Amino acid sequence: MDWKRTVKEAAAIVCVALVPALLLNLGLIRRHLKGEFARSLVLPAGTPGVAFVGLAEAGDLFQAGGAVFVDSRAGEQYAAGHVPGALSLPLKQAQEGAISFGPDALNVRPDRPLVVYCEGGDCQTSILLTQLLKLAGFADIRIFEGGWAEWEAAGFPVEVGIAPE
Amino acid sequence: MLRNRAVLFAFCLVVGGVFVWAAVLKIRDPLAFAQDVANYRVVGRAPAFWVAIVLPWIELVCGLCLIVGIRRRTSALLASLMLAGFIVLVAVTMIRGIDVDCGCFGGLSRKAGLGLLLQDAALLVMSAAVFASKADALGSIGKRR
Repeated sequence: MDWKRTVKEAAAIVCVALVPALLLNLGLIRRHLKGEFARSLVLPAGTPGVAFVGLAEAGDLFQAGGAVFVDSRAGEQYAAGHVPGALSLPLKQAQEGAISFGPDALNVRPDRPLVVYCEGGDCQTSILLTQLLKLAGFADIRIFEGGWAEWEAAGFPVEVGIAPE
Repeated sequence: MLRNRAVLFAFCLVVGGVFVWAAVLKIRDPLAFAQDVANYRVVGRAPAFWVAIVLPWIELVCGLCLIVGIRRRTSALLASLMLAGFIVLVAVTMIRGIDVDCGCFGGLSRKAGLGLLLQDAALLVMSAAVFASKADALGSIGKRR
């Protein structure tokens, strides 16, 4: 086994891959270097009208009591711990039509702010559920970027148990 | 050590095909893949961005090399290293109890769980077999003399 040659060949393969990777993504790389994706990797164009909030803002919204928190994780994760008073809307069930999530079904005014969260790290479940909620008629939806992991780690109030029927 | 050329060629096609398919889906939407990488909560957004820009292209080149037969053993080595990395990442994610999509097939990704671990392990066995095989068993363009 000629390891020296193998390493050289592997480096050559990586270099061949780097050329199109850098050239074809030049636009995105420029935007990244300008700091555009420092706060979120989600393109605003892909989620129009949706704001991303951090832990402090999510905490303020919770304290103020005006917003409704929406947990997009699976039911068992919700039962293990969630933001007090949060509605459980597992994305999978929402996509399959197993649960209703319009303003009437949730008994929430469509202009009331919703704070959608999932496990953490801007997970796709929050973004996909947000898109469904927008279609259902909700006007003010915010995604809590840090999600449950950040909320729990910060020592914010926690509620355990299944969602009321 | 596996010497059957037909089996080794089939392994190259399977691993190469999966890598090319996975790479193309990720290349189409680098930011979505960057988000998937960030969701594992191992690296921050900036490293996740660069991983999303570069990794799919390495997967694509490796996959094509395996299929076409250019530097097959080296490509198999790189594929094995990537697969071993994916396996460790998914296992750590499962242990940490984080619920994420694997991000391996763009929008067609499934949850990072046991099924994915087994799939990656099967691919790792195939790519490792190609790497461990004798050069003359492969009959590739890039075979060692």
